[in-house]
Amino acid sequence: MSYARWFTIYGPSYLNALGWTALTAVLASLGAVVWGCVLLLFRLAGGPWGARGVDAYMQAFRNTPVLLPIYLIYFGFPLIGLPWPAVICGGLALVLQNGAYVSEILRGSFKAIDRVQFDAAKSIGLSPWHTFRKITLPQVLVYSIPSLGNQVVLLLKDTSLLSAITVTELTMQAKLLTEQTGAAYEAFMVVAILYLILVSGTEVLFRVAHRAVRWR
Amino acid sequence: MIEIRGLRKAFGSLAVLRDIDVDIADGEVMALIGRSGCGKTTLLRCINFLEEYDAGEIRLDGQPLWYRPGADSRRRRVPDQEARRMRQQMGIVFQQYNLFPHMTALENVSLGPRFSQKVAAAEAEDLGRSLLARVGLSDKVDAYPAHLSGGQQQRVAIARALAMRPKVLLLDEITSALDPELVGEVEDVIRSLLSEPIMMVLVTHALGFAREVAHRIAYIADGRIAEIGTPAEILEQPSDPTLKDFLRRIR
Repeated sequence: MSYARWFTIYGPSYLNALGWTALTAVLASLGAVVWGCVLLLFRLAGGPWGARGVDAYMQAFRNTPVLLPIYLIYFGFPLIGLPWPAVICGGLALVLQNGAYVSEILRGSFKAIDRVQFDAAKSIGLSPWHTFRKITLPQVLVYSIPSLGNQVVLLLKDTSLLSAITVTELTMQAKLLTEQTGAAYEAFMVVAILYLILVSGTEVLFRVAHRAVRWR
Repeated sequence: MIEIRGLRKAFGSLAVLRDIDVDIADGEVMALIGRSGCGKTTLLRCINFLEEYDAGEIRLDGQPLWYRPGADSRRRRVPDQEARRMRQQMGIVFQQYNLFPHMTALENVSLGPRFSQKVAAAEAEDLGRSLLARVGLSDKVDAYPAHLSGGQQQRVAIARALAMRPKVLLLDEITSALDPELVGEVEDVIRSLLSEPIMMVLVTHALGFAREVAHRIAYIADGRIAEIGTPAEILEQPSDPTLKDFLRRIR
């Protein structure tokens, strides 16, 4: 079967899967950034134990493959009375893992903030919380845009691992079509192209966002 | 008024302030001069507790600042929240402006009133606009620091300090980082404040400006106030030999 013909027949069946991939990637990315900010706050304001806790958390997630937390949450949560849908379990695993990386990215950007700004913040009586929210966080996030873009791309590609726990995202859809039609090459080529488009789009989005910052 | 008694501060084994006693009267402008590293900036930063100090007392209008005597005769820092409240009575302007780069001029100025003094957003904005107008920057309200000249940034920084309606304005070499042609516009803003009842303490190397605006000049050497007096006394009839030498070098 020609590639074009294959696509006209089975193309539409990818739409739903594309939606799941995009939705999971967007929500998990937002979650990872929020969680990364929380981890940064723990590291900056949590005293020696806060920093140690975040370090231990980092070690745990950096030194294990993503598939592991995905399986642990998907198979483990029902055992503690939380039989959540597969996509939620998988998304949570992505948030927890990528949040760890995001917090390291943010920590790097934090070092780029001129320390004297914190003197200025103190001198106008800002509380530590307002200093974090109004001074630290906005700058850290902006300085991090390029690196966050990379991380979101990694996360986007990792959503394919959710196929291992029955989520019908793109990779799963290709598997299903392979089983249905036996045309593995065509099925996965379409997916490859769709990932390529998604990733390129993400990169453009972050580049535009980075350029749109007027104060730098 | 500000009363400073027996102020001492060391960085490790290096004594920076050895025993500072000085009063600053209401509405007084006091200039601190001296060689680099003599402790004048550290003194300024101790006044609003950006630096902790090892011994001594600072009072503002009779109210003791920063430390309380503890039960065991060792002093304790006041709680952070109280320190923040105390600090709002003082504004400081830094050598390097230290504006928040991600905020417009107006946001820089309104931030303190808005979040430290819980002023309503619209009111804080009005205050910000009027202060920016006062320092001659009505047309730069929405500009980011990166798009302002050094002189303009420093004027925003002065407006930001004034926004807290401080009793004291601490000025730390505020024209040292500026190109010569921009110094005047910043000095003009300080001149315009002289009619206000606000106290000012300025660390400076600009002796001409100190002479013009200050009621008294304190010459600091080796962590002590080596000589203090009116500008005429200090600049024209110095008695301390190191001060004579300092004046010769700087002129």
